[in-house]
Amino acid sequence: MKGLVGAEGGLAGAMSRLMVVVEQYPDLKASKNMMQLTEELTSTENKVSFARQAYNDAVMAYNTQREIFPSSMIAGTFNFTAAELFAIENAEERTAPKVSF
Amino acid sequence: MDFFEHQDQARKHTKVLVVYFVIAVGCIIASVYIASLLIFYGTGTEQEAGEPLRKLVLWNPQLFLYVVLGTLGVVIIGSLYKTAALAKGGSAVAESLGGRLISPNTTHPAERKLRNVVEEMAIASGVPVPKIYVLDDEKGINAFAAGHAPGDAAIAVTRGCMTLLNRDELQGVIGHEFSHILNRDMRLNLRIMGVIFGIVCLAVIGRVLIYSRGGRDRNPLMFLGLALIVIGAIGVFFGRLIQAALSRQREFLADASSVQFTRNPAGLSGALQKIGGAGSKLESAHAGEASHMFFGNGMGKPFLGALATHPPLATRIRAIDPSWDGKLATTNVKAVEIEEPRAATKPSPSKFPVLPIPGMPGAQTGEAGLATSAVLMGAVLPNLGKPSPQHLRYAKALRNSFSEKVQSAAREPLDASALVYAMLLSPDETLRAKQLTEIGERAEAGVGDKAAQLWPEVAPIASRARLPLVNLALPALRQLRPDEFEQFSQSLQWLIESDGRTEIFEFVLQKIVRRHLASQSGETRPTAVQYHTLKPLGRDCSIVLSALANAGSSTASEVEQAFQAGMPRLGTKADGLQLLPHKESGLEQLDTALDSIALAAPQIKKKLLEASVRIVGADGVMQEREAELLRAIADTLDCPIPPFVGHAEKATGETL
Repeated sequence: MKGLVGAEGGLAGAMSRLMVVVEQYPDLKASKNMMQLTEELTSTENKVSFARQAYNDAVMAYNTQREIFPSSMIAGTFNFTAAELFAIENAEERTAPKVSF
Repeated sequence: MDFFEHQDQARKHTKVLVVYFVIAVGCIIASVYIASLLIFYGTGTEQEAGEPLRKLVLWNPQLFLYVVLGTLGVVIIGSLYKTAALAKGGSAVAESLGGRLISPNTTHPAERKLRNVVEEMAIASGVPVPKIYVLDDEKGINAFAAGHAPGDAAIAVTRGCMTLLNRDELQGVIGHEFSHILNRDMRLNLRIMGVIFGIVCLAVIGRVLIYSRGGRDRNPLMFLGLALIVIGAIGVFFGRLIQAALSRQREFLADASSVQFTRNPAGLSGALQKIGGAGSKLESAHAGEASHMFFGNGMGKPFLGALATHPPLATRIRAIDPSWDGKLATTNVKAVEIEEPRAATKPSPSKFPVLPIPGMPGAQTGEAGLATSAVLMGAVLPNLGKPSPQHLRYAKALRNSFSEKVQSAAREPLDASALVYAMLLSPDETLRAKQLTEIGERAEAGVGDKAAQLWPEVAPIASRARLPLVNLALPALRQLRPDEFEQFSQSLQWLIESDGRTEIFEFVLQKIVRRHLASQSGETRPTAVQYHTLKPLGRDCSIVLSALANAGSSTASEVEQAFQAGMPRLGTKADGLQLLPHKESGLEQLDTALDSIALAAPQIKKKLLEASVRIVGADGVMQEREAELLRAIADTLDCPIPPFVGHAEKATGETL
């Protein structure tokens, strides 16, 4: 889990640096390839966030189920532990990398 | 209520409905049993007439077993048959509707975007990526998912869905479809379709039984056959009713799930609102079979509300977006492809952005607004032949083409009036001198001189750039004091009449000034709708349309042809309209006609505007003369059309 969080932070950092470079070249911004790249970047970012979201939804459903009555007995007996949510500690990494074209 | 509760609720409803369905099938079995019991009892007593009357035995286990086995057997065999027909999974359904598979490494921007969005949603919902199809022939906004299991599912979107929706909205629609896959709605639907098919089989068997032995001998099977047909028909009706209700509930569940996946109610709600504007109707002949799988209502309005497969759009939007203002009319549903680089190189007309008509009264439906713009595009594009990026460049160039002097004049109230005078000055030198002295006498000091100075600058401006220039000057003219304005409008009148004839540009200019600056002079326009039907306006409509037809074509036959092209737009009530000769549809008559039409109901205005656009576009070319007239007409109808170079020039006006 820790490794994942770190990797995501790295990606976010690299992205924002790229965007700063792109900002300085208006022609580059308008180019067809750049637009395709933007689409891919947007999609990749969405994929990352949707994966995180799907994981957190599953964790939430599991944790809820673990504490609701009939299944809570089994969970208690067999010692099911609560799952951990995917949360980003660092406040800076919380903000989505700025994509401005 | 958050979307989790929403989903729970929808799921509970669905369960109840499935129970209903089982009960319905149970009732069918029971009624078949009772029918056969009575029939066999009735025929039995007659056959054995000599014996004492047998007691009616209500519980006949043997017969019951036969009936249950027979009915269920028919239903199950029927349903298996139907299921086998659909066994190939979602791709078979998509291909039967004319779908084209999108390859995983497509480079077309719109397809690429669609693919990415589908992949994102697959991750968000935890379902494998399905096959993606595009229905190229469908212009409405719609989509469906089909398949037995997530593994063999397919998602298909219409071309309208791919091009008209932006990324967020597309995400909402795709999320909705993924919910259908995830919640196994496809399977449920398939099973219910099978059961209904089984019930239909029951009725078919009944028909066979009636004709099996023919004749009029007391054949118990014949009565049974009759009973089966009746029971089958009732069963099918209730089956469809429940299926529709089930499908409606499932749509709510899917909408709620879509919001869960995207965490963005605005996207889905925007997509639904655009459907309100652009429609979701399907063209394919096979659409009926799969109508319950689609995102929006694929068929026309069902004749019974209870038989609709989808809840009303407004209800769906409100369920996900309680703050929605109730406006479906998205008059400017335009293709989002403007941002896409490829769109510019593709010559397909539908790929071009649809020009919005700003200021279209909100009461009108979005569809109507769209239709008008579409025709407009058809008329404007051949003349223009340039896609949108060029528009903006054109607007920039247009604005820069006005000299610094002209631009600054358009910003000062008195200078702006001088600018308008200058535009109306005659090219003839002696007349111009006379006009200038008259202006000098009438107007404030300096205005006459200013107009004289501006004339050399203004004169060479092409006539298509003149109206935009007037528009530029309007805000400044609005700052004139009432007395100044009064005097301005009188001088304008005099100037226009001074050369003894009214040109079309002068007419349009006066119309615009009067219209937009009327509040300055304290005179109020009556705005209440006075005409609700076309009839009292027949003469006025004839004048307007004839004027347009005359402006567009030179020969009599062409005029007639253009006029006829516009007629169907006005509907059946247009019979009384006739083509008037040039003399009777002059600018003066046009002026009064437009004033009365301005008091008509929005529906009538809309129709007239559509007819006008048709007439102008009849010969495929939009001349400046026609365009100016059309603009004046649209302006009177409170539906201003951006001046022929699309919204480009409009943008110029706004940037200042």
